[in-house]
Amino acid sequence: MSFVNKDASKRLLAVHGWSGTVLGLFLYVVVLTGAIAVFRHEIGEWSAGGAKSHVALDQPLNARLAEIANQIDPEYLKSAFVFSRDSGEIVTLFSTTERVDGELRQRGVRTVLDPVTLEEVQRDEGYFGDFAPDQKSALERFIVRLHVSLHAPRPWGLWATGILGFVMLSAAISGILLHKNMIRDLFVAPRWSSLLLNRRDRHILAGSWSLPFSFILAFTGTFFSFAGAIGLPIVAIVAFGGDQEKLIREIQGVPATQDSTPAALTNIDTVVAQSTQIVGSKPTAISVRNWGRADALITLRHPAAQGSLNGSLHRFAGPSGDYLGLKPNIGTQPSAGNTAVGLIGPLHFGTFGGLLSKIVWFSLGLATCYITLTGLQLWVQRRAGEAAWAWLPKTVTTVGYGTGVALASAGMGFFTALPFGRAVDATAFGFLAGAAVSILLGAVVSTNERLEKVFAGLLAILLPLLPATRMALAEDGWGTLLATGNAAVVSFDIVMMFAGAFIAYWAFWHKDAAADHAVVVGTPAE
Amino acid sequence: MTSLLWFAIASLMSIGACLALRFVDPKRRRLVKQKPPELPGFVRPGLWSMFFLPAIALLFASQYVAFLAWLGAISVLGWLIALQPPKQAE
Amino acid sequence: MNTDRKKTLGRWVLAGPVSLVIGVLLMASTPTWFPAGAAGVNNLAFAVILFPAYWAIPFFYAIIDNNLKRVSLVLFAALAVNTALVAWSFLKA
Repeated sequence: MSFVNKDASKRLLAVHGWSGTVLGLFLYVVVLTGAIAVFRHEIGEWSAGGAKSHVALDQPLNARLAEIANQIDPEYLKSAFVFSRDSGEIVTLFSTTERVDGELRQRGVRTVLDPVTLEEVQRDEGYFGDFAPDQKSALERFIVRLHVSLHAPRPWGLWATGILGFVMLSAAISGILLHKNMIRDLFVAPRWSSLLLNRRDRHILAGSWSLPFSFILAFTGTFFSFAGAIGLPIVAIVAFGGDQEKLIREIQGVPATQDSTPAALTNIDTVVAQSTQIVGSKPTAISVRNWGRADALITLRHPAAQGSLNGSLHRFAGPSGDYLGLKPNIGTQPSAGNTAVGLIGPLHFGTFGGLLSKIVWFSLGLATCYITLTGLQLWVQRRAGEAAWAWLPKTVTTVGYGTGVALASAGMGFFTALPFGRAVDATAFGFLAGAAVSILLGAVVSTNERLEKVFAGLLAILLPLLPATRMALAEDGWGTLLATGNAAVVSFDIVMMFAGAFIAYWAFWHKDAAADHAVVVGTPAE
Repeated sequence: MTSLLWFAIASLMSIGACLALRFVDPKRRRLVKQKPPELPGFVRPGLWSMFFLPAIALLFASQYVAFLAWLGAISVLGWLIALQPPKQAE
Repeated sequence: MNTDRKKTLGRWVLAGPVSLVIGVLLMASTPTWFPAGAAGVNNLAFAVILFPAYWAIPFFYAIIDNNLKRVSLVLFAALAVNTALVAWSFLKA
């Protein structure tokens, strides 16, 4: 770009390189887990051994919900929320919001219902944050939390991933500013006249092609991290004198008029049927505000319809069951702010177009991992022979493969402990064990080339071992799973086996392009 | 279904343009010591239009799902197409 | 060499903490000047949505402009204006 002169370019390159080198490996972990988290619900179903029922909320629930509402402390009727887990179980949350030590906390009753019999399998009462986590979704949750906060406590984890998002954003922007011949070089395959040039070309080619997405994913990711951690509190301070509850009411669009006159709630099943007919899809969540009062409101969430980016919320009057129309995600009527906020989710998660968009987003995530790692390798190559950087190549390999090994190991922990009800701890333990083994291998194996092979071999064994372990301990085989609408589980088993086979092929049988060019490049100076 | 159809047509068009652009790319050819093919001046701009036209069409038709999927797919596929090393003697 | 060092340090401070503070202040001041719209939420929503851009703009400006004096002038002006806007919103409340 013309306004970036030589000195400015130097500074940009320094920022691009140093931020990428210092934080690139952390960014890699966040991006890799993000790519995997695109399939969080598939992972949820797979790790739970399939959903017990896919009917979820599309069945008569009214009598059961009314029964629960009658059993609990009336103050919890302020807010009711019903949804189904990836394992099929239906969860009801009745609660009231309280301020504890300056923080808003939800207190109430959680019940878990069997999706087929609607029998209560679990009930907890107290602060939602204190409930024991669900075992069956432990693996999915572990991966998502690693992506969102690196498992650091709030708000530090969000701060950390927010900063990593900003590093990615600034790397994308400085990448555009630095590479002046981007369009001209879009079809130049990585050259082999020197290893340095090859590393540079590889990094730049991948970076150029996925630039729009690096930008989009980094921007939306930075938004997600900072919106909750600092965005909303600060906006609350300025716009509402620090009153976060008021801000949330404003954003949620809670009607100002209150009417606490007792009034029976309409039949929820009728509302669900009506909403299903209006929208054309089954609701994925039901929420009821002020259950049993004249001002009760029922809101149903529907997934994105065919060809649209966003899901939608539909409101019904509680006592009469009258349809009140679409409810924007924020505010009480349509607005540019609502549209913009609504776009962030689909753009970041890639869940708007079924399996197709998920596969595309997953590939984009892997491409971003590739950019991060090739950037680091470029940095290493520029400093080849410098003793101060000699530790970096093996570290890049260790983190690059080790994250995968640790995640697979977390999966092993999960599957072996699930039958014993200890999946949450075992997932974390499995991850740590996998990470420890990886670090040990990184320290012990003598050369980087050998280390790559060792890790590839390990992954090639671990990935197929995941479905093998799952199947060995699961109740249902492939036949039953296919018959009960759980083809996703079978597909995931197969994908894992193929992934292992592919890694083995790539590492041990595939002829690397570098081998062809070894004559041209020669061995790098020691 | 229509989203998928829009996506498929748009992506095929752009991938076709991508492959052709790779074939006629002067710098790519120079680097393997091949003379770039002598082409009328409108060919490369024409191919670039073919590459981007689907995006404009999708936006005009309000096919936002297909547009985003196209954008993502072409970011990955275009890269994979360009990544293939040219044959030394084509 | 010594002045070069000072300059580098100055740029670090401007592109680092100063641009982050400006980003946060810009986000804080947005609800005061951004049109709220009929639903009354645009000023709140865009304040938070634009935060990454609010941070990135002073960050890149501090790196790209060769004239460090101008950079400090512009950034501190931005700092002052937004602090004033935020303070004004408090006084009004």
